[in-house]
Amino acid sequence: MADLRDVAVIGVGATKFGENFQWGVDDMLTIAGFEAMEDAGIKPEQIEAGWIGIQYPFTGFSGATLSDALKTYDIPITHTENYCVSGLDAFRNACLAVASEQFDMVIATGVEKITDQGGRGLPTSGFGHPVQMAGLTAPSAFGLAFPRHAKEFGTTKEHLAHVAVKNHFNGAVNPKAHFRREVTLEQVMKAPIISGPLGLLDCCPISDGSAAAIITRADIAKKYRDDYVTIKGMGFAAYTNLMMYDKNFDYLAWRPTVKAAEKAYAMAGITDPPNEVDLAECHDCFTITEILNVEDLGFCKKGDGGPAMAEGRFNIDGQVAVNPSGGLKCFGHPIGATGVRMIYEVTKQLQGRADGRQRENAKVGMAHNLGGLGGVVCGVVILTNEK
Amino acid sequence: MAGIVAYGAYVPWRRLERKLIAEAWGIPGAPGEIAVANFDEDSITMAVEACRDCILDEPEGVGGLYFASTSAPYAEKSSATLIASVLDIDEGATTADFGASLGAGVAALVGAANAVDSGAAASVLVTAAECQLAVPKTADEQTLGDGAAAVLVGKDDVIAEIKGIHCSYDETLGTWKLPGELLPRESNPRWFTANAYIPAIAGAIKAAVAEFGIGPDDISKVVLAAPDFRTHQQIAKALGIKDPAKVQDALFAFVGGTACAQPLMMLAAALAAASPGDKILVAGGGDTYDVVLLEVTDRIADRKPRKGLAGYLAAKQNLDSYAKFLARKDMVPAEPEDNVSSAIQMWRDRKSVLPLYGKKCEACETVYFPPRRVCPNCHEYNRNVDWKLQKTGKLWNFIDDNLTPSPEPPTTLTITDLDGGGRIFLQMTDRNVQDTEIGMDVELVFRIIHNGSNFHNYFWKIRPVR
Repeated sequence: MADLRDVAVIGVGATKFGENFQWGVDDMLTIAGFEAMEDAGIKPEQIEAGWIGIQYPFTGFSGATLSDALKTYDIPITHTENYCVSGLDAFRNACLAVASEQFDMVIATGVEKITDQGGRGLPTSGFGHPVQMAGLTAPSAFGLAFPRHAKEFGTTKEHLAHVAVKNHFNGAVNPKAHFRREVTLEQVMKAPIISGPLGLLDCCPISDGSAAAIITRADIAKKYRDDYVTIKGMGFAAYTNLMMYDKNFDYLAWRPTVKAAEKAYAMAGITDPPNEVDLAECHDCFTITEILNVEDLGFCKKGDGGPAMAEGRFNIDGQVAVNPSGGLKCFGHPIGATGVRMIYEVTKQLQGRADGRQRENAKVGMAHNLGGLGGVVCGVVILTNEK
Repeated sequence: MAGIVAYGAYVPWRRLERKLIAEAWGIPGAPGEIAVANFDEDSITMAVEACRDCILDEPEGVGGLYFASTSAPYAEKSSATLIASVLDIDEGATTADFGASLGAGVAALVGAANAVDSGAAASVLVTAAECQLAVPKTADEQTLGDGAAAVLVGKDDVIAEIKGIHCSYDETLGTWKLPGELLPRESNPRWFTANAYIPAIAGAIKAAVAEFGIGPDDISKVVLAAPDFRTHQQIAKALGIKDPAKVQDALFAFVGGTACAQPLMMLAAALAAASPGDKILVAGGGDTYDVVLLEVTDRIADRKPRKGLAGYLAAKQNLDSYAKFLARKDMVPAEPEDNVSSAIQMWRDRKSVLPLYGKKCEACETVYFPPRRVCPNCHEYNRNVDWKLQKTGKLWNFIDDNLTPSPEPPTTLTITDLDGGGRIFLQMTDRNVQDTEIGMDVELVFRIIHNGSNFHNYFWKIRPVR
């Protein structure tokens, strides 16, 4: 058995994220999958196993959604569903399979096709109990952290707005981002209110998209390219769908982020995250989510997320570049695709190929993916270009 | 004979001034206001409120539940059993649904008295509630209001003894609804009241008084059911009652006509003002014209404090537009909901959804909801007991959400710490958005959550303690 740290990413691909009305699931998986294979320099017949992250049943069922797109028939393909972490969990399972040496060359993909459904916001009907959970929406589930965080630490709506301004600044130059424009603090502050403190510009959009990564062992990776990246740390944690009933949950930290980060840092040997992590694709479905996350990831002290954001400590040239891609907020958030899209961005950054949004001298990058109505599940993957 | 052991009432928080209806249509308006059920209320939820006001969440020993309404949310499917279940009344109780007539409220009271007197039930909780729709621009629209009442009929510790019951009926077509129709149809109201309603109710009362062997001076208060304000006055006149203080106010001024719930709501008001020895005559009307004579006992002084009709009437908020009234009455198409439910799941979870049972862990004493086999605090497996949650608490956290489809956003989603233990996620209702604050005292109320899967899905919400 190889070590998980011997697992390498040798190719990545992604569609443009956004309201891809013109593309179906098959189109997007094909575009992302073939881009990743071309980037890796491999052919579809070299793929020995595949994983596909999808959250919503209306996007697709089973591994066949992927084999239908790539025509990679007769190999094992697994569908992973873990809320917004569906894609990163596809990547995790692909890495474990390679580390086990069961397979040498695999593909991890994610896709979501939401805009066919019309409607507004993410569909949450059927999540949880018919009446006990009724009315809970994604922005309200995360937004519930604001009153508690504000009461305890003095976090303000303006602090939240800084997250959106930063992520739009980064994403505006990203050709595949859902939005390609900057927003001002004033625009964010004055946007129509969606839930609690969260205005329209505090919320990530409803996007379609797909992303893919080609994964192999480091010793094989060398044959394909010199600038492959490897796993440095990985941690996943699931908490509960019922956090609002849990007297031990204080809404001051996303518990799965804390736990997943602990595991990933331990594996990576990272003890001083803000000085050892150069960039992080960090789950920013809502601005308040990122405020707690940067604290939970140890990028600043608990409670300092708001002021640190306002000071620019997480700008692309700050202490840790958080969401250089534009994040979910600006790049978009097709649920099942997002985790793999984070791997796409971190890989590009560590390869020095993030045109216009490159974090200088990036050596260690993180993909942090949080899911569920509130922080239910989390995955943290730390990649490095250091051999 | 049986008597009344306890009584309660409920009036929805929202009211509409009649002049707003009149202004909207450019027609003459009557003075006063009508009580308007919120969009999450129906006759079942209002009956639950009135019953809780009556028995103060103490269902032990209640042997039956009779529900009366002409506006029950199900044409087929008992409302009485649902209400009994929410109140946590023993499943050995007798239950029945009365309806189809404005006279159903007093008919249910008579039925309960008979059941208790015959020994079939130790006690019966009688509740009547109405959540009515009127054809816009009609006189009915300004007349009808929403409300509920409850009366516990039993033999022990009665605050008012039933001294006599007189029954009669009259077959005349006044108001009716056809199957599948929500709006009432009517023949000729002026003809109907003059030729059927008034003669029938006045005749019933005269016959009853003669049968009971009492004179007009013996009666302290007469509760006269009437479809509208004018008819109410005409009945009193037909009976020759000279002293207006003897005629119980029919609640048209600030509630509106509550159909079959009206006489029981009026009775609740009459009992609240009664003294030992008072004789109260209750006359229902509409198809069924039943008359009940009550005599108040000394025990009326021992009544525990509660909101009662006066409390609910005092706590109110006026709707600022006729449009909001129409929206509450489902007269305006709402945003389609995509909620789903399962009759089987709701059956499986009936004890947690309806009377609101959680669990108490026997290892760490944590009270928790929803009920699960493993304690969320100490993770002990299968060492717990069913635990009925208290219906009061303190707001621990909340958010006002505009994304969830609602007739009147935002939807206030809350996390509440219940008195006696348990933290619960509930929507908030009947509140001013700007007045919500962490730490405030709240009470739980039973409401409609949605109508997914083509049935009514009920659960609890919170509202500020008033």
